[in-house]
Amino acid sequence: MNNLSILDDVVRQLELDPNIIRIKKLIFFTCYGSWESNINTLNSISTRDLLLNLLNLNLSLEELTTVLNNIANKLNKSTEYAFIAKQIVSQISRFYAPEEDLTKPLTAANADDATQPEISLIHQQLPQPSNPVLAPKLPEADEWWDLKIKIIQQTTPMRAKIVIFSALYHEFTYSEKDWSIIKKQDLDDLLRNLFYTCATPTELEEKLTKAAKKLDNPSESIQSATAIVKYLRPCYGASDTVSEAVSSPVFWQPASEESSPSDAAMILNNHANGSSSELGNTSFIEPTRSGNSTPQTDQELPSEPNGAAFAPAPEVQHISPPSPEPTAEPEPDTAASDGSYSTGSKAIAGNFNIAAALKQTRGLEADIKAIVSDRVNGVMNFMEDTLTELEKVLERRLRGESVNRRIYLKYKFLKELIAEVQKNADKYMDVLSQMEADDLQDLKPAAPAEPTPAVPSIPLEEPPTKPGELSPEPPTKPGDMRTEPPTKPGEQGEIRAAETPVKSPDIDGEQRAKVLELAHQGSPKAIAALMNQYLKTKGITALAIVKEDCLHIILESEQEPHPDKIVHFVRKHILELQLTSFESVKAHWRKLGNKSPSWSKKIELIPEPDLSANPL
Amino acid sequence: MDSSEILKRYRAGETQFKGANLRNVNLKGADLIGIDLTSADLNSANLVMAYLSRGKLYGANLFSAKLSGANLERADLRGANLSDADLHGASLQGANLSKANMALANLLDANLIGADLRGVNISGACLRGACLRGANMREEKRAYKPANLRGADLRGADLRGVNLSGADLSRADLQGANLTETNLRGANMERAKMSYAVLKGCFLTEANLTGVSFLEAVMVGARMERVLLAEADLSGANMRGVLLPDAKLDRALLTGADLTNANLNRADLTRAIMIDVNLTNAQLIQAHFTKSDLTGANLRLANLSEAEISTANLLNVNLSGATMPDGEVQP
Repeated sequence: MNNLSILDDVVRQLELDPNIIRIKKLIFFTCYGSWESNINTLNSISTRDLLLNLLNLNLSLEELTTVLNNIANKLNKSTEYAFIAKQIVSQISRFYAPEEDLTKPLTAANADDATQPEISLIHQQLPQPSNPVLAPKLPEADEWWDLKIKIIQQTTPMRAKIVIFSALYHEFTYSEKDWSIIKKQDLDDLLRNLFYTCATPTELEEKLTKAAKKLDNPSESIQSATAIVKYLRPCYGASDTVSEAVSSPVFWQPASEESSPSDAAMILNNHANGSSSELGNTSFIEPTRSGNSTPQTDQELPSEPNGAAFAPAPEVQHISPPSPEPTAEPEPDTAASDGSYSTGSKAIAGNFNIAAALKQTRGLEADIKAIVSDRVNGVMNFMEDTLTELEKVLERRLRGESVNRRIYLKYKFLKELIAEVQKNADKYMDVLSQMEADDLQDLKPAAPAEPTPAVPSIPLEEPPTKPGELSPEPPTKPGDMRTEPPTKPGEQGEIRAAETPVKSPDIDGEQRAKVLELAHQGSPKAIAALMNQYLKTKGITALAIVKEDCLHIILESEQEPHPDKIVHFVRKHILELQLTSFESVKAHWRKLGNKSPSWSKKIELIPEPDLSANPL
Repeated sequence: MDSSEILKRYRAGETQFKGANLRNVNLKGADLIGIDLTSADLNSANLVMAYLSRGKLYGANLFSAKLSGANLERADLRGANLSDADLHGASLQGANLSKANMALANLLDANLIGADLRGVNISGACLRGACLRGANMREEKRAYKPANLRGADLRGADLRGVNLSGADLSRADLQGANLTETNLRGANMERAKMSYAVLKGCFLTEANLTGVSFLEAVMVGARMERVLLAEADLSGANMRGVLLPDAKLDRALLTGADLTNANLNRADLTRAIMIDVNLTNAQLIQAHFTKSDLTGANLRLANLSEAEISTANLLNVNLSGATMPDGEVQP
């Protein structure tokens, strides 16, 4: 079978695989160093091309396996992706052919690998991919050779190997085992591996220096690390900006300044702008997650004193998922957004003539539609994944049963999943309607009615496109779903899209019950909505965000309320809801119009005796 | 002498340890810069990550010594016995290793930049990924025997600009090695493996490359006058502008090779397989194509004056603009 037909066959097989989207994502990341979760984009990239690009990287099968596994390990859902990596490797291995080397003398050095056949890639006859890899790619020939030479002139090759080894795997222990591993990999392999594992020069530097510091001869190791970074850095080349703007699935990057609607974005923006923020807790903004590994933090991070780091990503905005999310998992898919998010909103404010305005609106709506269908796709993808997964689990679980019973039970439970999701979706729909009604009541009569959230009429099976999934967005306000209302900036402060408060006492009983239920489940939006019922009468607006198990309540008003009293109120509310999903709760206050809070207080959740009847 | 003694004395300022007996000594990571260990016995000594730069180890016995990661820059290792030594990742930059014996040594990823390797014996050694840039391995009649790299593993090694003239590289594995402008004049590379090797501008004049595989090798501008390439596998090789006058390519495999602008005057291509070969604008004056297979070959503008093509298979050959053996130019 010649290579072309192998290629076609592999493409065919991969495309039949239910996990094809994930497969594509992983290959895309491997080749381009950035995470693509936009389904449409992924669909538009041909599997064939992706494969060719992957093969074009010219890695040995072993290298490829390592790289794919390294990447998979860093993703959320690393087990799933580890499996995907395996599938990719098994398909790719068809392009490699073993070469028995029987003439190679059995020296002590290669006695170990004398039994391993030499695997070489037969990639002649394979066409060039139509979209050759644009992102960081190893330089060919001369530059690569020169790079190596430069590195080994600054440090013994062994020292370099040890540092890279320690950066990639674990601290080199000088044990027999570690020696034998390091012997099997050429410096060349290690450098390539390192290059593919680190998406940006920053990560490269971080990893290497971190590893070097811990080694036995730190000064030499650091020197080695510095040399490696210095000479490997140019390989990331011009694509530096590409790989950083199109960021990998790091969830904690805020929307950039442009995206004004989202409120949490504003808060996070504050940080980006360098304004001193009381949001001291690194967990609020930290890009890297300790336990649940995220892929690389690839931004050039402006150094913040507390280490919280992120950079404005002008082209792509990722929005962080809160941890206690009822249905969603922090999968890269659901968190993606695209640049068009902000463009529409910004454009509307200002003095345009009617025609232009109309044009903007239309273009805007199209934009929004795209954004939303993006989310819908993301959610649907997630739903499918969940269904598939659940099905597998059920099949396994029901293996002992008779065929009929198995079928009956399996579908019963799969349907139940959908039914529950439907129910919750309905609830969200209600909450949305309520919030919309409330918002409308607050507006001046002159202002045009805001377009309803661009939720396409979807069959009920689909999980909520709003709070449930978009709670990834920090602002728990209806504002996100819409564009900036077409009002002049000077208009009364009430209309800040991201913060339109829920109308206070008018939530009717049934609605309230639903909101209450959601609040119990930990939905930040619902929590804020409930609080706002009372706070609004005091001229205070609450906004809730969840970040890494911490619930943040941001309070905003003209006049500063008494901190203790308001914190007490918040606390009381939180306790009443008997929330268990948060490890900690913090309250922040900022003056109306400011971007950064003036103070923050941590709220103790251990019940204290009630201080007074009327806290405010 | 044991390790503590030598270290003590060295730290006290002593450097003279000529002929010392240091068998099996453990000097891991030791700082012994500039030490004089001429003719010392360091059999199986542990010198992993040790510092021996500018050390004098002339004629020293380092048989089976462990020198991984050791720093031997500019050390004098003339005539030293390093066979079976482990020099994985060691730095021997600028060291003098002339006439040293490094048979079966492990020089994986070693740094041998600019080292003097004349008359050295590296047969069977592992030089995978080693960097020998600018090293001197030149045969000098009456002074230095040709460098012996028989069966050495030089995969991915960097041999740019190395002078390997007359060297013995038979059965060496040079796959993926970089031999740009390397001097391999008269070198013996019979049965060597050169797939994926880079041989740009390499000097292979009169080299013996019989049976060598050059799969996917890049040989742009290589000079291979009078080279022996009988039965060599040059399929898919990039040989643009290569100089192959008087070359012997009988029974060679040149399928899909790119020989645009190549010079094959008087070359012997008897029984060569040249399916789909690209010989655009090639010089083929007096070349012999006896019984060769040129199916689908591209001979546009090629110069076949006085060439012997009567028994060649010319099915689907493109001869537009080519000069035929009788001097006639095809349309």
